Parts: sequence; C-alpha cells; structure tokens
Amino acid sequence: MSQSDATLRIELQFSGGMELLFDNQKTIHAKVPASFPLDGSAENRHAATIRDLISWTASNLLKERPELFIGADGSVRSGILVLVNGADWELEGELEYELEDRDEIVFISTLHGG
Amino acid sequence: MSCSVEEPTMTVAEKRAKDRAVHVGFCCKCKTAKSTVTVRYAEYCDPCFLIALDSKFRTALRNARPYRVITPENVMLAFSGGPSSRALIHLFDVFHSLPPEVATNKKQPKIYNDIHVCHIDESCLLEPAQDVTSSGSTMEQARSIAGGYGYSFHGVAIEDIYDPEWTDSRCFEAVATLITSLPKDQLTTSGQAPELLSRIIPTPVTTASEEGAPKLSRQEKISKLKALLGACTTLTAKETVLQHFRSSLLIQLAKRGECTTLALGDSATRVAIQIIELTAIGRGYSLPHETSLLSSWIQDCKVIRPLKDCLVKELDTFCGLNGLVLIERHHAQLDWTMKTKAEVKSIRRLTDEFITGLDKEFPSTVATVCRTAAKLTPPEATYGQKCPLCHGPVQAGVQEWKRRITVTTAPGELETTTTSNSTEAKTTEISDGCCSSDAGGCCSSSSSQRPSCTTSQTTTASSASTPFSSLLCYGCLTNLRDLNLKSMASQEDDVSSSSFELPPYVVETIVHRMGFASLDEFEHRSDAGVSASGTAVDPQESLRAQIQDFLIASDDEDE
Repeated sequence: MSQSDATLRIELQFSGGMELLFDNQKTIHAKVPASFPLDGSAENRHAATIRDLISWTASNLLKERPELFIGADGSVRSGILVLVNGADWELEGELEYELEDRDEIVFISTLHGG
Repeated sequence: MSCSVEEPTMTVAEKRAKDRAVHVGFCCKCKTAKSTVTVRYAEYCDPCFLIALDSKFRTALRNARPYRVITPENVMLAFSGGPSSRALIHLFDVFHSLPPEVATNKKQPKIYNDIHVCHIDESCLLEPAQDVTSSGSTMEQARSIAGGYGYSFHGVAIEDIYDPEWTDSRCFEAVATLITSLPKDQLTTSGQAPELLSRIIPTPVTTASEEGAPKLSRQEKISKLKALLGACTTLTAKETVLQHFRSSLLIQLAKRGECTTLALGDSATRVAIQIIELTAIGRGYSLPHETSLLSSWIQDCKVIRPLKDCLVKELDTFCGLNGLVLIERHHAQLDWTMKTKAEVKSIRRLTDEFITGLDKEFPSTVATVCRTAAKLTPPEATYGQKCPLCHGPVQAGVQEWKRRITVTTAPGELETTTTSNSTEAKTTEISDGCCSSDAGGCCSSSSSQRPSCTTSQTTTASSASTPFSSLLCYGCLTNLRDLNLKSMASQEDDVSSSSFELPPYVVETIVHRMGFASLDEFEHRSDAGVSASGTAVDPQESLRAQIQDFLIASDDEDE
C-alpha cells in the first residue's frame, strides 16, 4: 500500500442537488491515491482517509462553487449527508475513516427547499 | 414497592449514550444487527430505522387527525420533487395499504378516502432557461411518480398564478399594478417610502374564449411573473413572494381536488429553519399557521405537516433505502445562486446555514426550536381579513406599528429618531410608515390625494386607486419594502408605466376586503357611487377602506 502510485477504486455518488456541482454526474468511478499527502515522502504518508478524499475530490472532480461542498476544517459543508458503504459515516469514524478498495461513498445534500 | 430510587435521573441523551456504550456499533432497537443509520444520539440498523420512521409518521398523522373521526376525507399531498415530499407520498402509501385481513374488516374505517398528489412546475424559473415544452418540465416526472402509486395527479405551473382561473372564484379577470402615492421625482428626496396603492385593471374581455383556449399564453404569464420577480430587489423578497404564490396554488389545487386536507412534506429541519426565518422577516404573527402540525386557518382546507417530527436526514436516508426516485432539477434554490455566481444570500439561505451548522455540533437544535415554537397558539383573527398577498392573518394597526419602530429621515431635518428596533434601524430611508409619519409632510400629501383619487374613480374603474399597503399583514408590508419603487407608476402616471402586475388572486382579495362580492360589483360601484363618497358604500369593510387614512388618525387620538 505504501507504493506511491497505488490507487483505490472508489465509487462516488452525489444526490440531493450535489450532482449539480459535479457537472450533473450522479456517479463517478474514481481512482483515488491510496496514500496521502501526495507530495510527502514515502514514510510520511498515511493511508487515505475520507478527509483526504474530500480535498482530493474538491480539487480533482468538483466543477464549481467549492464553498457549497467543502466546509471549515476540511470536512464537507454542514448539511451534507455522507454514507460509507450504505452506513452513516458518523458510525465509521467520520473524517478519519480509512478508505478501502471498492468503497462506495455517497454524498447527499440536505440543503434543499420545499 | 416504590419505583427504582437508585436509578439516577438521566437525560435522554445520557440514557442513549449509556445504551450505546453497551451495544457499541449495534442497532439500539434490535441490538443484534450492526447499525448503519444514526439519528441524533440513536443508532439503527436499516429495518429498525424504517419501522421507527413509519411509526413516527403514524403518530404525527394520528395527532393531526384523531382516528375516532369516522367520515373519511380526501387528502392532497403537495409534491415538490424533493426527498421530503417524496417520502411523504411513500409513507402515505405504506400507511394506506392495509394488509388484506384488515382491509376486509369493515369495522376499520379508512382515515383518508382518496389520496391525490399535486405538483407545481417551476421549471420556467430554472436557469439556464429551458424550453417549457421540452423534457425540462418537471410535471411529467411528477405525474409518473404519482401514477406509480395509482393516485390521481394534479399539476399546475407556477406562472399560472397569473391565470384568472386560479382564484377562489375561478374566473377573476383582473390584475393590478402598484402605484405610489408620491410622484417619482419626490421618491428620492422625501426620504420616506410612499403609501402603496393598487390600481385594478380588468383583463380585456376577449370574446368567445373557448374552453381550452387560455386568454394568456404561457409565455405572457411567464414574463409577467419574471417582471414581478425582477422588481424585487432582494433574493429574500423574491423567495417570499414565490412562496406565497406556491401556497396559494396549493390551496387552490387541494380545493379543486375536493380535498379537505392538504399535506405538506415539511420536515423538522425545514420547520425549524422556517421558524427562525419567518421570525426574521416579520411573519411572526402567522408563524403558528405556517409551522404547526395542523392548521385550520384556511377556510375549507386544513393544512397538515405529518413529517414535522422527522429530520431531513432521516427522510433522505428513507428515500435512499427505499430507492425512491426524485425529480432532478427541482432545486430552484440552488440554481438561483448558481446563476448569479456571486454569493447571493437571502434570509432563508442564511437561516438554512445557521440551523444546519448549529445542528451539526448540537444535534438537538432542530428539535428544540420546533418544540419551542409548537407552544405558540394561532392568533385570533378572522379569515375574511386575510392579507391579499399571503392570505395570512392581518394584525390591526400594522402600519402605525411599523411607523413607530422605524427610523425615518424627513427632508431638511436631522434624523428624527423614533424608537428603533435593532433589525429595523437600518431601514432609514425605506420605511413604509407612510402617511401617518412624522411632521405631517406625507399626511398632507395623502389627504390631498383623496380628491385626485375620487376624480379618477369617477372616470373608469380601471384607473381608480384602491388601497394596498393598508390591507397587508406586517410580514408582507415589510417584504414589499424591497420592491423597486421606480418600477411602479405614481399617481399621475399612466398605468402602462408600471413594469409589473399583481396576479388575480391578490386582486380578488383586495376587492373582497373592500366589501365587494365580485369584480363586476366593484366596477359597478366605483363607476356609479363614488361621488356620494361614503354613503353609497355598503358594508363596514368598504367604508373602512374608504376612510383608511382617517382611521389611523383616530388611533392616534386614542392615546
């Protein structure tokens, strides 16, 4: 896993309005680097967590208005529901959850009218 | 045996935390399955979560309408396309599909007879502008979802608010423009917002209007709606006006579907946001009606909010677990912001962020706000006195109150400081205080306006001024401060110089509030009986409207 070019296959899903920020894509199959930070040396690296995934998604996939996706402290904006393999991310350690190959991460915006 | 004394009193949160400590990672109900959903402090597995949500919904529905009521009613579900109202339809379906052994039992009366679903298509407002006839319309998606449940579907487009058909009388053929009581050149110098009057313009009666041949084309209606929204200078005003139109259409839809109940999909999160938002925009008086589980304010149509106890997170999860299809691009709110690209904020959006942000750190925020506001009791007001714009209750003496809490700068004077409310203090230049304001400067103008008013009334009804701001509730009065005054005609101007029109349902209420039963009666009276001033007018209400200015003066004397 410490190999620098190793990637994880992550399925990202966006709904509840979230998809509009990603060019109307509801599902993105992403290859996410297996360890972060990207510019760090091999020994400084740690396995990719959701926190890394969020910032990686924001800089690589996000099409517009990052402030609607990313909130303070590197987390997603409040009001966005995150599911890790169908379970609430609060149960999985939130930002510190370590990604695994073929994980399915769902982002649902709950900031909608009506 | 006494009850267990050794058990120390624990808060719900502590109890749940204790439970959680025992069954870490497991559902708090069945305690056998791994938990996948967290709601506030509780963790559930998927099946237990669905059961919990369903029973929550049933409880709310029972509270909104006791089971003992025998006669079944029809219910209209308002469906926007979003997760909350989508969940509402599904929950109603689960609730209504009885298992066969119960369905055959005749003793079990149905709670609701027929279930209807309605949808308001707002795609004409979405950006980038879409061809309304194309698949951009949300109507067909909504229809197919309702059809999937076998419910009858009713749809209307938001621009139909300008259709004479969508009023109580179903053929109220008049719109109104707003006019200011001051000429245009004085608007900037007087430092005061003028009284707003309305001028009722009957829609030209196109002869032989066949069934199915609308008098206004869709494009015309859309441009009228956009003109009105364009005259609103703030996003808050736009959203509020649209919300009023939406509610008006929903009520009309419910009445047309012969439903005595209108069910809205407002979630607890939504209600909490609304509570704060409505308070902020000055709608506290009608707040109980707009946020309660059951509101009987609207005549012949109860409004219920059975999802009022469910967090938006629960409903999102519910939709996800059941694989419910949502309507894409119903998020008009998000699109509006994206259109302008600049960070445009409205009070609603700021409240949204405030509540969701707070709720993240303190998961009880939403529940606390809701439970506090649930203690409010609806005001004692008569339905006949409803506000023309929002159809909410109107508190007496609104304009007078507004004048007192607003700081106004009179021309040639230093700041005349009246009592200032912190939220109102910054409205130095744009108060709606109007004629009762200080120094009588505007008073004289409004008294001099009487003759001009009557002379114009003697000509034709279409050019007659009818009161407007004096009929509004406080919330609408405050909101209309954000209307661009330059877009309105002044008293002397031709009607055509006004850039927008108010939809027929507003005019209908104005005419009713003035004591006329119908538009015909209004035109007839104002043609004939104006020279005789007060005497020709019948009920109290129209008299009151006629002498509005003097009534406020008498209020002053009382103190």
